[in-house]
Amino acid sequence: MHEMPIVLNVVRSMDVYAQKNHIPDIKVVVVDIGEASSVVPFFFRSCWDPAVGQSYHLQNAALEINEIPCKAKCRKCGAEFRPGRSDAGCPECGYKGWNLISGRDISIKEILVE
Amino acid sequence: MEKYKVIEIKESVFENNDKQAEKVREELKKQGTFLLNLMSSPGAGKTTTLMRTIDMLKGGMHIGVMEADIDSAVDAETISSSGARVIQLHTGGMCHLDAEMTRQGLDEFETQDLDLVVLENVGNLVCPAEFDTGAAKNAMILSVPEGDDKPLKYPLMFTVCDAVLINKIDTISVFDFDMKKAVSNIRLRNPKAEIFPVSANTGEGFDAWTDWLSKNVGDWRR
Repeated sequence: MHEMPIVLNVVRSMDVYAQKNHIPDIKVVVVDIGEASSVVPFFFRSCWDPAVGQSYHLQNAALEINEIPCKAKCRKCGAEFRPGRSDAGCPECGYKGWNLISGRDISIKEILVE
Repeated sequence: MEKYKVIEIKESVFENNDKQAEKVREELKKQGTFLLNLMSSPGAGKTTTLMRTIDMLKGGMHIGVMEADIDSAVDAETISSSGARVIQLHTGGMCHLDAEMTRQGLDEFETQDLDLVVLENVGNLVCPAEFDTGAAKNAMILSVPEGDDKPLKYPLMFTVCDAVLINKIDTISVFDFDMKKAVSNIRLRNPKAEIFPVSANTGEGFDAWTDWLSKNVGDWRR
């Protein structure tokens, strides 16, 4: 539900980057979206065109999204696995207490320029 | 086919907010003001809990409250009757507060003489958990009518909190709420959170909660 401010943030941040590094035109922005983040890739994508329309250096920038799977670590046996749901048990020992070690973040991975 | 040059960025979209939040925390530490971020779903009892908390602690510390809502001043009006200083922030439709909004609120509020400021976040179990507000500690309220499975349905909220109040325990006989299950579900996601079963209505359990809060404020100010 708050994809728009996040997308605007990405576009503004890359606009500033382009300005500082004398890049006239960014062609592609690649964003990693974690499976457990609050952002829905479909909605993120639908905010992209209106957001880049307000930029200086991303007017023609395409968006590529990598969906990054979650990784959890079992607090009992230390096994690492991808939990399907928040009440999933460790596939090794069955314990349901685990810490999410990746998959929550949303980050700008890279940009493509001429 | 056109060949483009790849420039690695590797920047979290939360990076700016996280940096701002650290700055807010550092400034409040220097100033000796403890900021508590209080979250819950709408109707869980944040405002009622705050009223009782203020009543129990105001004898020993100066307290301020920043109310965050999408609209209206209902909560600010309620809190102002407690004697605590209060300001109402309207989020402009945003579903959560971030560090920038918190900073703006603190600047408007003038917190230098306050020992404790409570940020009553927007009623929402999803978005507020994502954004570091610069608070010293996060607390959330789960109320009995909401059910004991909420920690499984909204895991991030329970993961980020230092304290979880289970409110409305005076109604437990009326609802299908298993306290042992609720605590166990919270522990699966957050083994370290302090859990306080309370009733903001009757005052039950509030000694433990206010002792914890008071101790944390004291430690922060040292």
